[in-house]
Amino acid sequence: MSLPNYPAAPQLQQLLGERYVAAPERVERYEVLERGPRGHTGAVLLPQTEAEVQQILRLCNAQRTPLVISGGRTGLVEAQRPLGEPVLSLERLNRPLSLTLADGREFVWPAEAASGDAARDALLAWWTALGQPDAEGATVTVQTGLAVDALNDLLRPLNRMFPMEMGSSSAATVGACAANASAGSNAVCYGTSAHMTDTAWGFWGNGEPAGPCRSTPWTAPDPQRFAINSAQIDPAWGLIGSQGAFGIITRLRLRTYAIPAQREAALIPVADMVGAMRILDAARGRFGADVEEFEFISRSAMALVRALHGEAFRLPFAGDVDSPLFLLLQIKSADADADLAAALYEFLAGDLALPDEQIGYAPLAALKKIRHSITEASNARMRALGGGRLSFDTATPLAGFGEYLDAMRAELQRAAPDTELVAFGHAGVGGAHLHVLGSADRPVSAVGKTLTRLVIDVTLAHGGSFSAEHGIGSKWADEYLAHTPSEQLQTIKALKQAHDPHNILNPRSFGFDRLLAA
Amino acid sequence: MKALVSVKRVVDYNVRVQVKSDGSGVITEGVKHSMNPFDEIAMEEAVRLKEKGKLTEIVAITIGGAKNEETLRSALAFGADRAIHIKEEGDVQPLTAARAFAAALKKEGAQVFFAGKQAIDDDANQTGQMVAALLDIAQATFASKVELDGGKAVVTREVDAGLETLEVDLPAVITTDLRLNEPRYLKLPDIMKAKKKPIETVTFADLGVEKGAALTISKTSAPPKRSKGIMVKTVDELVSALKSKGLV
Ligand SMILES: Cc1cc2nc3c(=O)[nH]c(=O)nc-3n(C[C@H](O)[C@H](O)[C@H](O)COP(=O)(O)OP(=O)(O)OC[C@H]3O[C@@H](n4cnc5c(N)ncnc54)[C@H](O)[C@@H]3O)c2cc1C
Repeated sequence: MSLPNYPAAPQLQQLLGERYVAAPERVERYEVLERGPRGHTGAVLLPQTEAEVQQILRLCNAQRTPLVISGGRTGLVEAQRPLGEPVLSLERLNRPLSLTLADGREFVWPAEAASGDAARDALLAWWTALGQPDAEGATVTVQTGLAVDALNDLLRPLNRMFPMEMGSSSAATVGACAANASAGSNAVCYGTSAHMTDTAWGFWGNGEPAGPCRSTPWTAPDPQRFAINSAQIDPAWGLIGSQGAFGIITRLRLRTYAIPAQREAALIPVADMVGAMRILDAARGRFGADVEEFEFISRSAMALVRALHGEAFRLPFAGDVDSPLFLLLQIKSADADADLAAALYEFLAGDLALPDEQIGYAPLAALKKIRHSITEASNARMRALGGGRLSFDTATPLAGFGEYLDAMRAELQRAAPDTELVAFGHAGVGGAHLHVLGSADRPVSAVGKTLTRLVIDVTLAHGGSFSAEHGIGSKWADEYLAHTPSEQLQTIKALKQAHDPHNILNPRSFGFDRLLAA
Repeated sequence: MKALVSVKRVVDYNVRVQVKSDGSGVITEGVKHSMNPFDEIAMEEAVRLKEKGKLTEIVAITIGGAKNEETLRSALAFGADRAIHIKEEGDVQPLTAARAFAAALKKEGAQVFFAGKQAIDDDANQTGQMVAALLDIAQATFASKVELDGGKAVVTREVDAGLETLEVDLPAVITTDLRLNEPRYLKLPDIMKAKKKPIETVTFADLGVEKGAALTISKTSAPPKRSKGIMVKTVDELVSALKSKGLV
């Protein structure tokens, strides 16, 4: 078979041997996205050492061969979508390296126990031999391509976790989470993956070593400022949170967090988002940093979940409670003997004066299932309606989130009464997922431009961001260029010129192809 | 008509159980516990029968240490009218438990003894049967449907060949299978109210039961690890791999 026409192809092939993959049936997987149009590529590069990543970058710079970066391929903003470029997949850089306790004692994973049960058992044996000391403050150093769930499998026996709770955690890689500042449903408590990252190392796009890069630990968000905002990169964090625009994370030291001894949750019906945010304030007032999740679910989202599960669906209320919005409040405690259920009840029945029949209570797993079925339910509805979907992931500072979301729902209803809006998301950090579903008669493609414009205008008018935590990628490049203040664009252009002057990495992300040409 | 329902506190079914390093059992300290799922089904069935007017009183009963109070509180939140705690801190084997339950059943004059078909900690699947034997009363195990009518219970069981329906005279022991019902979600207000209800405490001595030790656990070990699979590229390779392992 002839080599694809990449200037760097012969040297890349020499470097990687069999791990330079060009067979169409093997590269196909890298062309198909979790969400968004299909891409195309002629080669997938599978480095298995950090040094190989650096060599790849050097070769690609020398030959001006751009790349797209790929981890677990769950990204939602088409950053990993190739349009001809080779795909640099970090999936083989997936080893746990070491775990360090707060007092400095360190476990290093041996090469023969570097994955799965063997890796977990090796760590557990070491920890048991030490007498199972409290692992508070422990950090774990891993390669970028380790999946979030795989990391948690290692940490669980030590009663620790990497609290990145999201529907994609079985495949999403920790390096991508740190790079994208991914925020899960518990971001209100633990912050984004960027905050959970103590240090990251890797290479700038030009192949120069990068790091140690440091972020700051999470503190309760200032209500007047963004808690999550993909459209704002913090240059001081280096590779962390910069979405693969300037460099590649190859290795990270991550903070670990105690698995709570107890958790309790309730579903709370509310009339509007402004009222919902008052409940967040009240919950914070009572439970402080033990508010672990604060999510909202619109009536339409709840109806879709109901339809998805059919007979098996059980609304956790005594009667059939209907409401424009529901909140999922989850609290935690480190104390196994605390009466957390009683504390939750006092809050709901006492502080909020909710009548008993308005308290939605069920085993945590059942409530979680409702929340985590929304995407699947929306997918099913989209297929059934046959009119496509527009999806947005927006954020505002907390102080304005309630008004913003109420206004957004009203505006969309007015502008496109024939579409269905499914709204849900991370109310605790001011994040909203908005799915607009068309029908076969009225496909969203017909109104896509107008509605996108509307969503962005309403969001910006409320001081919000059109990309909360999923990143900019190439999906939001136009909006990024159009709505970012020019001095900010100059800053990131300068960063790009310093670290990736030939625009080798994800060349269309953030619109760098155009920004550098300008 | 009164029913006695046994409820056992076990390691929660979501917990990935770990064997102690000396093989003497599994680690239960600092691990989430909850009501044995089959006992939840038994509680649910009793409550449904009471809602239908077939039972007039439900008494939940447990054996164990102080923490078992939580399990009884859950039973009260389900809808039990009363709760009896047979206080015993140490390990209790199925025969001892059966003796205690048999004594309590007699004392209470209950017509039905509901129990889970087994507890998910020891999977012994013995207690219900032994209670029936000790009292020389009828038993219908692995129930997937229960009807109470006058002095009889009609119980459907799932057996290999299909469904078997038994009619038993009361008093009787009925043990519950997975498909009997889907237990309701406990309501937070009910859980709170249950905290205030009284719990009667008794001892083995009060019931005239001696704690036996008929069996000893000699060893607990984790299931064998799955060995790593191999990747085959073609059907021929698959066939020869199966042959080499003597599987075809
Ligand atoms: C069902 C579902 C639910 C999701 N829920 C959430 C959610 O709640 N919150 C949330 O934030 N996201 C969510 N996502 C999005 C996604 O899982 C995250 O963006 C995640 O970080 C992507 O990880 P990945 O390994 O799959 O990255 P990929 O999709 O493989 O890569 C995407 C891009 O990330 C960058 N990147 C990846 N690895 C590196 C690296 N080592 N160095 C530098 N840049 C890198 C590159 O730009 C790359 O193109 C969800 C996705 C799905 C499918």
